[in-house]
Amino acid sequence: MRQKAYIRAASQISIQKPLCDDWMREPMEYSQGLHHCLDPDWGPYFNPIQSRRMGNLMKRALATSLQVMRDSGIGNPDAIMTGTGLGCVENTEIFLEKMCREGEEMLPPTQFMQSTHNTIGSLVAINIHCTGYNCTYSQDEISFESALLDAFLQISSGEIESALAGSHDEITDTSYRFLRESLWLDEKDVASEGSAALMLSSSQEKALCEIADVRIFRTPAKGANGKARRLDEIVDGYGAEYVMRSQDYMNLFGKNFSVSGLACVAGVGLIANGKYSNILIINDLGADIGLVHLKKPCGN
Amino acid sequence: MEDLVLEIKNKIIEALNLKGMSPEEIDENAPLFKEGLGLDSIDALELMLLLEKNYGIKLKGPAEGKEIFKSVKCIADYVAARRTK
Repeated sequence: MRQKAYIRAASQISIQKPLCDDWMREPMEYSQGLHHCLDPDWGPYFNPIQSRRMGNLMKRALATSLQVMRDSGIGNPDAIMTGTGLGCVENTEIFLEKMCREGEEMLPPTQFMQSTHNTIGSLVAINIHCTGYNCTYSQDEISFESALLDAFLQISSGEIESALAGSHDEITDTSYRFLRESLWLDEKDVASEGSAALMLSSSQEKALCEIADVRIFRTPAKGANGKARRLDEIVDGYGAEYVMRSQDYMNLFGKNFSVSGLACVAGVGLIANGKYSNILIINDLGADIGLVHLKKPCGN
Repeated sequence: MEDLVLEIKNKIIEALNLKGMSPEEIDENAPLFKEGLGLDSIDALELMLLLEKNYGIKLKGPAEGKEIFKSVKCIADYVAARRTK
């Protein structure tokens, strides 16, 4: 029998007020251009010596992860699944700049080690002493759904009982320029960055919501109209009380490769606060579509 | 030697990204690893790079650095005796 998967805690650092739900009452509004996260005081999470080798993305990933561990009471999850579209862009740029400037003879080990995508998940694992399953998904716009789907399936099948799933992306001046030139961003977009972390559990105890489904698919219908029609049919099939599409949550969090993870944190908050009992989060940013269906836990 | 100790302290702060720390806070005789600053093996690699870049000293490997990186004073003594630039 399939086990249910619940979300016991959710946390975010984004262009909205970080590590809390306060922003939901009065969200900040942004105009076009590049916007960085509103970073919290890192003091409660790690000291300067501990964070000396961490870039901003890693600090955000670790802080959101530690926050959901504290909020959920799950100190050592069975697995860590991480999504990231672009990985540690800041460190990659520093490393490449030094390579261009100083040659390949004397390159700094720290930036080399921390310029890979799976640095994020491994840093979190090292810091929380999690030696379990650890996997990073870098699948453009659906990186978050890929990580969440892995966690959801492993909990559903009884393979694990808890998982830390998240999605983390950052933006720099250079990556902003590249994303504009590649037309992924246009001048009207609010270009942003963000970290989202969720603690999943097979136990309903202290659950904020249930994950009813996670799905990734590519619509078979050809053309923009056909794609929209096919997607509408699938969405209708879920009978969700509230549907959040990419354009809706990008108004809150801007556009980045982890924005659907931030939307999921918002969705968890809306169900936990009793505003809705059944939410479908649609990620229709790219060619692949991601769906996350959240429901109020039975009996709550 | 005092100038060299101060210079090395500043370079360590910069290379290891010890933001918010001043040279005065680093005891030149205190151990750098485990105790003291609590540095680790990755920091040792950064220190090896620091010596090579700034003083032209190339260590054979981390094992050689074990004695040299005991404290800032040990690094300064080694640099003063072996520097090529």
